[in-house]
Amino acid sequence: MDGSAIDPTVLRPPIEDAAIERIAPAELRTRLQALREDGYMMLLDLGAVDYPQRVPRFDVVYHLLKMPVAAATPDQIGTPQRYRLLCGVPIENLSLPTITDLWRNADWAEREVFDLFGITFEGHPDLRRIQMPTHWEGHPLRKDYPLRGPAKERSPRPPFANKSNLVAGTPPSGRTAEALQQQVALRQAQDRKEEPKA
Amino acid sequence: MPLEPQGSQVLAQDGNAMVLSMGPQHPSTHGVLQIMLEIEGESVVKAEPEIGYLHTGIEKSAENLFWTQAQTVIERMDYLAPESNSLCYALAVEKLLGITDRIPERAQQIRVIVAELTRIASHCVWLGTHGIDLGALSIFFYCFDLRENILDVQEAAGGARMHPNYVRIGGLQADLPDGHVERLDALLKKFPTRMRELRAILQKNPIWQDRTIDVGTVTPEQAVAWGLTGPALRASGIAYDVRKAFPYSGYENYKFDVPTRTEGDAYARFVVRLDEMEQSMRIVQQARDAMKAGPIMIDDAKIAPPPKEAIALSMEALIHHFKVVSEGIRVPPGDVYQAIESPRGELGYYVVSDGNNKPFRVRTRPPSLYNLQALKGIAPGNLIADLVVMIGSLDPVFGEVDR
Amino acid sequence: MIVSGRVAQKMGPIVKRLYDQMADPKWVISMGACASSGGIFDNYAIIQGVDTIIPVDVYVPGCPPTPDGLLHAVNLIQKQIREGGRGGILARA
Repeated sequence: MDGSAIDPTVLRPPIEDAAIERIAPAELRTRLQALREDGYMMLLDLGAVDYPQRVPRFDVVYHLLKMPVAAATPDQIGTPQRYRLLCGVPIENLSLPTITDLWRNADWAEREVFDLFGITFEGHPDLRRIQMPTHWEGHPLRKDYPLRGPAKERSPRPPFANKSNLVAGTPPSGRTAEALQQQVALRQAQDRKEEPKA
Repeated sequence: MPLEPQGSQVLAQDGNAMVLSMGPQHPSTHGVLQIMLEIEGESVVKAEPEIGYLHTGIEKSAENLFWTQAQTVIERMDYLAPESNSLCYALAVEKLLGITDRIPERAQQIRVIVAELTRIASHCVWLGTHGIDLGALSIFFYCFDLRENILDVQEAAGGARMHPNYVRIGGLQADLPDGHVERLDALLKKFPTRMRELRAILQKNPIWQDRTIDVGTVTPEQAVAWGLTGPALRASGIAYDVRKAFPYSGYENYKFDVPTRTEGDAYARFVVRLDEMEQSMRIVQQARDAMKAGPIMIDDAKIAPPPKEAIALSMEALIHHFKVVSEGIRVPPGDVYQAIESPRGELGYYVVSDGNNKPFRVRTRPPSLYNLQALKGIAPGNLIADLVVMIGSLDPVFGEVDR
Repeated sequence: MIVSGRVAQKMGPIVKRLYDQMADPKWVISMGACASSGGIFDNYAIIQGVDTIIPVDVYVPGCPPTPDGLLHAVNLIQKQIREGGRGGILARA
């Protein structure tokens, strides 16, 4: 398609209120630790994006927020600094170090990235599927996973779904052609009876 | 032994500790939440919530729909405050399009009114269901009566009670109908009495205070570590409100306070939300008074379809309308993160566009997911009955948690 | 039983188990487009109609369904109960 950018993250829209940095998986933990010591005490979000035509294929995006850890008024908080860290994960090595020891709320976010994209996090205390059933195969949010799921034959309607207490061939709503004609005849008879008064 | 426990059942018994699955079908878990509880008698040793029972694949669906069509599925994430999702997504796409400062002022004011009314409606559901969980049945009716009034106002403006798809990329779907200001005024007049009634029922009630004070206390360090946002964070003392910190849609023009408490328990979260409802009505009053006449949609035919009246008169309008509807709009490539203050906390969208007419990726930062995750940290040591209080006070919506 | 809203893949077996646990006679209302047919979510995560796993007596359209739609569905169930509709093991296929 014309206009498809292969790597949208290298282009920046004009309005941007976060510091953005791209990093390799090897330096990820040291950088995040340094950011945390710098005051980025809140991990807002951890998500992944699949760029199938790009190398490295996946991007794991960390959103951090500089937040005080003691009671603070709105003026003291002001406009906190946002930080966005993008980490490219190649398909040959679908693994990143976990950050659950730095920010506890990375737990479920990393499980979700594992479930929907297949990226494992080393050192995660409990890495298992979170949104899909336990024995689901495949990682749904990858671009090569079909939208409607794996092709499976449509199971026939279970027998109890057929309306068995009606005559075979009658539509469930009861509206057949004869019923319609009867209704029309009835209405015409009514109209003829009312005509002299009109 | 089934692979996943289906319904509340005892899974293991080891000495005094018992593992109980407070299954996905439960009247007090506010939706389809399963909690694996390790309990000794009545007290909780460990609580591990299991989610995913409402996973809808919204983010994958959005990748296969046009930008404006994707808004319909995205609106169904947080189904108690649907206009918040719409608003945040529209703001994110407008950031990518670069038209944030060209949105007409009237559209911004109406967006603020809709967003604040949604906040009050969402808090009504929270208060009603929180009360029911703890046995206070009559507040449910007061809350839902107020919510019905608000939904009637929303229906008059947007066309549907829930999921009206009223906020669009570039402005609004249609202008307010005649008599809408009178409807708003009637609501504004009725609100203070109803607010007094809601407070009178529960706020000084000794049973309510016994059940919620010092239950589920979250210190500020814990709140930031768990990524709590919204009323749960503000009840612990940190007054972070996205409307004040990163103002959007003209919020810097309105005067309102950010209610904050320092105790961090369920009662503090309760009072913070009640105060927030009053502040929201204050904003609605100001927006209604400052309402300007003017267009409600940006005047750019590549983004917004021209009004239907122009189609009969102008060939270009007809062509643009056809293109926008059948091919969708095109958004320049890039990625952006946009956050708003939803009733549950900071709702954020990380939207990636590759220049096509469909979103490439819409990653949601769901506030309810991170609020609910904190349950793992604050539940141990409490009774099972307190668990119900904590879930209610954190206010999760599973459409958002599971998406 | 009113199945309201979308039924995810993980929730399907649980809805079936709940239906099995109900005492006879039982009737089921499928409330909303997403429960009746999958609705706007034609994807991997949603069961395309709860009637693929349990028998449904009344379907309520809408996304979301209007309150009067649900009330009408309850009226239809009452009519089915009065006129001896499908509920219960005797009327099952």
